Parts: sequence; structure tokens; C-alpha cells
Amino acid sequence: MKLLLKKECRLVLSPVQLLFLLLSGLLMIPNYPYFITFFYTGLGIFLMMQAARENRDAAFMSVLPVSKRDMVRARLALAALVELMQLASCVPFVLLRTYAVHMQNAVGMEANAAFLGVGAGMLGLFNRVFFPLHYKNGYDLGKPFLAATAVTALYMIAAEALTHIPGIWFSTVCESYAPAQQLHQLPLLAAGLAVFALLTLRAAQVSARRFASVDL
Amino acid sequence: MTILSVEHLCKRYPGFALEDVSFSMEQGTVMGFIGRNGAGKTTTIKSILRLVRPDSGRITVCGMDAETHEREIRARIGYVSGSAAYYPRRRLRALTAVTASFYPAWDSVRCAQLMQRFGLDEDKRVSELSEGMKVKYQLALAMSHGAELLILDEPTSGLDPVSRDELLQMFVQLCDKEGVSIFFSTHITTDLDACADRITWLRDGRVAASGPLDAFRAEYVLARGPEAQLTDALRAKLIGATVRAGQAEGLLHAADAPLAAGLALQPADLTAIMVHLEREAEP
Repeated sequence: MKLLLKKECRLVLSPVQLLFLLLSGLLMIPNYPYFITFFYTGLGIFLMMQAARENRDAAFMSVLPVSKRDMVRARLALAALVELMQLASCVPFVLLRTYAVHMQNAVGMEANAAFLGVGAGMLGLFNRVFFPLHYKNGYDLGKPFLAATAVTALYMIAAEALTHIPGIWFSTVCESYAPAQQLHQLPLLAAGLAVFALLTLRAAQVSARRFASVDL
Repeated sequence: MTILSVEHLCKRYPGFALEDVSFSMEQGTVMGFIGRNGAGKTTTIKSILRLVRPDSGRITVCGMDAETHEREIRARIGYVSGSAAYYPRRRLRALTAVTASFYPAWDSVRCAQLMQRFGLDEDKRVSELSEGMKVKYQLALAMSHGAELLILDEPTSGLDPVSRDELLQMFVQLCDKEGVSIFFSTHITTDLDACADRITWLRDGRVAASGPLDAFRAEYVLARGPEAQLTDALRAKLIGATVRAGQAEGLLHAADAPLAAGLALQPADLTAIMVHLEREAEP
């Protein structure tokens, strides 16, 4: 798997994907729906998959000593790596918002620890919808991307709506950027990362099983 | 030792089916895999590589079951497809480095020698190579990791005659000197006359013949002569016969040769056998 991941980084990962990490800087916009950052992550993964398909990556892989299931697992691992890098690149901006640039976001959730947790769940959900749909035939990308974007949009709307229901933990504790309150948000961050891991692993399982029965 | 064995392979698609395909080849031999376009050659090869999942049947490569040892088998074989071109904007150097990393037994000296011999420049991009050079590049990669079995799917289709001859000679050398086995799919049957030990002929998804090439060729003779010399008995025995400008030509089973009095008989090569038998089978 290490070799495969190395191959994915050398041939499949594009500089554009890495440039998209800079979009974590959107968290510095005073009033903005910050979850949009993760939509760009999904778009980057879609473009990456498209480039791999046009470069006939599957034909290249067919000469290497790897199974079809391994090919899928490696691709999911690359996507997860990119997504974790996106989350990690958000952290400096969350810290800036917490300790240096205090701004209350008027249009959406605050850039804080809770946001990162909910964002991790959103990326896991993207993986769970996008990859199994794509690996049904290993070719279609448009419909899986639209489906994944639609599902994650609903998830984002639900998360944003929760912040507007007065009196609940999600709107009181999770809407604060105060360091003390963010400590109370850490369980949500941990839960988000766990959901991300579980959904991505499940996406890899289902995708690998489906792709193994696809005729290339 | 049997290096490749295909038993009762079946794969059905709408409008086409591989039916009960069985054949085997021994280590250190060249097997020609022939048939018309669409006969099922590539589907069979992809089934061997597990790129296509067969409906039924059993395939063993290097003594291992293809269904359960996909990764191990791929480590011991080399696959070259005449039509494959991947990562067109990448330089050969980058693709070679990635490929090499997957094989512990990678021979970088041999790879460099082959690249030089084939006239391949590592700084070129894949898109800058001609079709023939792409095949040569794939061959260089396949031969640099000590593959025991080379599976070649139409490798000579895009090559000029000189390059084709060069490759065929190399196949014979690999086979004779290094004990490499070569499974060679092609519709250019003259290539096989030069290098194959055995052939397997696929027709409409079924094995029409499988065995030693010499024995297969010895089964037939090519008869040519004036149409007026054709008796009714001879006409009934001629396979895929044609008549042009009063001259008849057709294939005969060697056993029927005595019927062809007055016609010139000559040994039939693989192309003549395949063309006449296919013509005869046409509705």
C-alpha cells in the first residue's frame, strides 16, 4: 500500500489539488459560509479522478503487480490524505481567528474546532457517496460528483441550520470562538474525525468490492 | 512445467460469448494466440490478468490460481498491449521509476540496455513516441523485472517490418536462452510462423484448434490449379475455395491430397490455413 500511495502521489496527485489547500484561507473572510472550503476539496478530488481517467491510469496499473482492490484502496487513501491536509491547513486560520482576528461570522458557522469536526464529517460523507458510485463502473464521474455534492450540501445546510436553533448545545457552545468554549467543542472534533474515518473506510470497502467485478 | 492453463473459460456479453475456452502452454515456449478481430483474444487475455471477471472456468498461471493470486501472478508476468498508451504527458523516466519501485527484482542495467537497444530516450514524453515505440517501451519494462511469462496482446500491429523482425528474434532468444514463456496474441499470423511453438486459434469465442504449430500446418495443403481440373469429389473437399480467371485455389486436409490430381500442391502456412478455414465458416 505504501508503494501504491507513493505512485498515486507521483502520478495522480496534481499541483492544482495542492493549490486548493490554499483555499483554507477562505476562513479569513469575515462573513462567509466556511463549509464552501470543503466543496472545493471535493471539486479538487473530482478533477484529480478525471485526470487519472484521461491519463488511462487503470491501463498503467494493469501492468503492475497490484490487485484491482488495491488500486481502489490506494486512490481512497490519496483522497483521504488530501482531505486531511485540507483540514490541517484550516487549523492555522482557526487559530488566527481564535487568538488574533476576532470576527463573528454573520452568515454561517464560526471557524472553530467544532467547524473542523463537522467539516471532517462532511468530507467523509463526500467519500462515502462519490467513490462507491464511481467504482460501479470505474468510469462515470459526473453523476457521482453531483450526487456527492448534493448530499454534502444538504449536510451543510443542516449543520448551519442547527447553529440557528437557540438554546441547544450546537448553537451555544459550537458557535463560539472563545478558547475555553472551543475546549468543549473538542468531542465534536473527535467525533467528526471518527465519522470521517469510518465513512471513508466503508467507502473503500464498497468501492473495492464493486471495482473488483468491473470488466476493464 | 505448465506455465499457463485455461480450463473451460466462459464469459458472456450481450452479443458475444467466450465459450468453454481451454488450452495450456509449457514453460519456455512461445504460444501464438490467433483469431479474427472480435474472436475473443483480448477478453481471454484480460481474464488471465483478472481485468475481466470470467463467468466460469479456471485459470492458473505459474501454478497459481488467477482468482486468488492476482497480485503474485502479476509480479511474475509481463503484459504488453499494442493499444495501451498511458500518461501521455509524462516522461519515460518518471514512469520507469514508478514501475521499477513495484518490483524487488528490477534490473535497472537491463532496462537501460533495452531502452538503448530500442532507441528510447528516457527524457521523451509518452505522447512523443510512435505507436511502435510505445510497444517497445512497454516491452522494455516487462522484460526488466524478470518476467517468467510475457503476455503480449497484438504487440506487433503498429511496428514496421524491421522492428517486427527484431522483436520476433528477441522473443525466440528470450525463450531459448532464458526460458521465458511467451503468450502472443496476434492477427498477423506470419509473425507466428517465425517464432511460435504452439498455436491456439479462437473462432467466435471458441477454441477452433490448439496444439503444436508444425502439426497444425502439416494437417493441410494448399491446392492451386485450373478450375477445369476440379472434380465433384475434389470440390466437396476443398476448404474456402476461390476461383479467379479460371484458376482455383483452396485448402485441403493432407489426407485428401490424392484427390487433387492436376492441381499444384504446396505446404500451407498459418495465414493460408486461417483465411481458408474462416472463409469456409462464413455463412
